[in-house]
Amino acid sequence: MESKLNNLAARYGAPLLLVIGALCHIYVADVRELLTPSRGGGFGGLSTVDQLEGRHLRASVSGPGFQSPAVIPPEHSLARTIDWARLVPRWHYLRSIAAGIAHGQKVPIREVQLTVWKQQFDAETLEVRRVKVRELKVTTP
Amino acid sequence: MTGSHDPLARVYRSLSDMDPIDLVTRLTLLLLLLSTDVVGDAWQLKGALRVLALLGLLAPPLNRNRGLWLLVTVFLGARTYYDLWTQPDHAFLLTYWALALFLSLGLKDAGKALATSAKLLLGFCFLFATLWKLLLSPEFMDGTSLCYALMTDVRLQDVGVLLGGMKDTFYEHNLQELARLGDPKVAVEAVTLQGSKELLALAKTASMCVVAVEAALAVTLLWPGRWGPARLRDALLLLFGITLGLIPLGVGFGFVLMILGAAQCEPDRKRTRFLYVATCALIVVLTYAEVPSCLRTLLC
Repeated sequence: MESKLNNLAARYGAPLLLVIGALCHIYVADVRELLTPSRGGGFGGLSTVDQLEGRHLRASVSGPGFQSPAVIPPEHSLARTIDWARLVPRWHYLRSIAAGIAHGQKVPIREVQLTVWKQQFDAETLEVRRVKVRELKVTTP
Repeated sequence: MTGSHDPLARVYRSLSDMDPIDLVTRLTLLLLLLSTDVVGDAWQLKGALRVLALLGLLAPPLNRNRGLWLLVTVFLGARTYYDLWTQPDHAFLLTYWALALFLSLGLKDAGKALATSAKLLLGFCFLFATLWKLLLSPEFMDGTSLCYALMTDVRLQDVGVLLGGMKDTFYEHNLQELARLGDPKVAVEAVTLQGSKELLALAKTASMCVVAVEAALAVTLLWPGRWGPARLRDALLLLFGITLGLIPLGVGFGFVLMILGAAQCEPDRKRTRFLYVATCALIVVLTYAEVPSCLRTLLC
């Protein structure tokens, strides 16, 4: 015999999950200002200029007497972390990428710097500007 | 007696008389076959979902089997976990819908449970979309984000040229400038795009229309019962679906909305359910026909 609980779960279970997911998305995207509103299940879609394609991760390494842009290794496992870090730059994503970059350097380096940027657009002047979302500096041992 | 031999009449009767649960489950399985952005790129998940879709379509009544929908939910859920921050919003919606199908099928009144679930999924989807556009993202209502999309999104290039006074050379310039801004080897803080004077006005007008329609959809779908504002929900949803087909943003989003629209329909509204199916077909045709591109060829 069907229970009342089964009926309630069937009618309201999925919508409740949607609401919880969308509220979590608002917290991460709007309150913490980390995630782009256009992804992540919050239905922010076209509401923002801050889309996946406009988010970039720039890396640089510095050592005794030099600083240069770093090539981010194309290994499959880091590629997904890089995509995730662009969209929601959590510290442990950035630390994994920094460790991957440090590991791949041929010369000794002192520091790895990662910066995630998003774009801002001024519709009057048609200017697109880079805006920093998060920055991490890791000193290598 | 031409009616019984008329193929169009037979198609109409077949689709409008089809059991609503058969209809929406088959449409959902069809979407898994048609749309790449809902199944993702990982071959394991894409392959599994498409095999399940084929089995469900070719071996009825497997399309109504809870076990099949449990597997679909698990694989869509795995895809959601794997692509949590990158998958489009309608892929989330489809995952929730698959869960609703699993939870409802097997109940005595599965149709009613699915209808309630579909109505609430659609209603909350549009509620949050309205919330973002109206309140949380200040760059939508002033036309900024739509203006930017019309100037840089190649999927909207034909719309931008036809209605916004843009030129193809503007898009080439804009994409080059954005690539420069994102190039880690180039130390550039800002770039200037090319656009037309009328584009911002078009974007502002379009933004207000979009918010008005999405807010109206949220109200009509979350309104209890079938009277009052709820009477407008099907007309609005169908209009929204057709508009999505005209702007070629892909088959996925419009198709999901139409499936949920058909599911939330009252059982006696056969003609309306048929219209949802017809709009699914129209979305597919309009997307591949690239209507804005054809209009450009004719008018420009």
